[in-house]
Amino acid sequence: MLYSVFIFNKFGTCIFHEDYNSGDQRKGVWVPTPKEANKFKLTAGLVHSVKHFILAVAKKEDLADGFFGLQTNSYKLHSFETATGYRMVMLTDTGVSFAEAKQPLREIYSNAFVEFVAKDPSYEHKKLCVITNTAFRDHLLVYLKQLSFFSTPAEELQH
Amino acid sequence: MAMQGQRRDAMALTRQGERAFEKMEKINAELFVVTYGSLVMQLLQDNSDNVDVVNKELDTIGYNIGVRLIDEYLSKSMTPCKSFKDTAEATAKVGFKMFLGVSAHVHNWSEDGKSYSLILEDNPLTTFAELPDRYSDLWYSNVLCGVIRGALEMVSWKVEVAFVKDQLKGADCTEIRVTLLKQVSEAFRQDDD
Repeated sequence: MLYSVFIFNKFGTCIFHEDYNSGDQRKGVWVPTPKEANKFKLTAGLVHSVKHFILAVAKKEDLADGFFGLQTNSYKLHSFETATGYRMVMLTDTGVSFAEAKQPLREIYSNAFVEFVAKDPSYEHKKLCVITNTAFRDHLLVYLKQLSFFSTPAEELQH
Repeated sequence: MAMQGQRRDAMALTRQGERAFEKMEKINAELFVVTYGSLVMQLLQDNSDNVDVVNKELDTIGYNIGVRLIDEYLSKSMTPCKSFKDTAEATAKVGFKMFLGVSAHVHNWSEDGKSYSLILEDNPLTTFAELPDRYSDLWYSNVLCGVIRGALEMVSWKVEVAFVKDQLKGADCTEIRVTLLKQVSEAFRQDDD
């Protein structure tokens, strides 16, 4: 089951976040609250630190995709970083394999992000510029809903 | 042996460029070229024929395009560039092909490997254009320099890009020189405000 999606820019700012399957329906444009801001900073810092930890520790030959996920008992974090420094992060339950999340993360980048954010003239690659484009949010939701693991809890997924 | 490897890489990139070009949405070339021409003319009018200002404006416009184009380029072509040299070949064979429909050649590498030229035998932007004498200092396609600069900056290569020769001015080919200034490391920092 997909819990949420984060997108961070290269400055570590969370430019997009959405919770799914949590019961509340957010309306309108996404505006981060101060309470959420801390959570985003922590997540950004975590992804950044783990990535650099891996770079420092791993042997060069083993480093194919770099950091693509971490797992705890109750959830999994899947991450994909573009060459432009954008990080697409998904939080799911433990039923979703890392391999299965790879392609969706890339598709979020190429279908939703590139089309609705990179090409949006009102979005700028600046430190504090967040995604306010509702078309992006809607398109992303449509895409995510058709993923097999979107709302299927871990127990029901075949692995 | 090294030469054969290089030729294989070049062919692989060319094929990648063609594949990426096929995936792109197409628009009518004449419409694009004529729109660009009108943009340049309008800029000249708005700036009272001040060619230096227009050159800079075209570069800025190109920069704003380039920072957006790079994500589309990355998502449609899987070319991992590990070195500056890789970015040169990728820009010429894949980038140019994807967005302009024509590929360029990389020539004249400097000794320190920090500078190269992109040669375009055919520049679609200048298809219907003629440069009158009073605009002889105008680099008509300067937008291309901005695009390359913006795109490379987003993948952490800070470069200086400028026209050297333009077929529109009677030269035998169109040449753009790209010079590496520095490689920018990750900009991640926590804002404390």
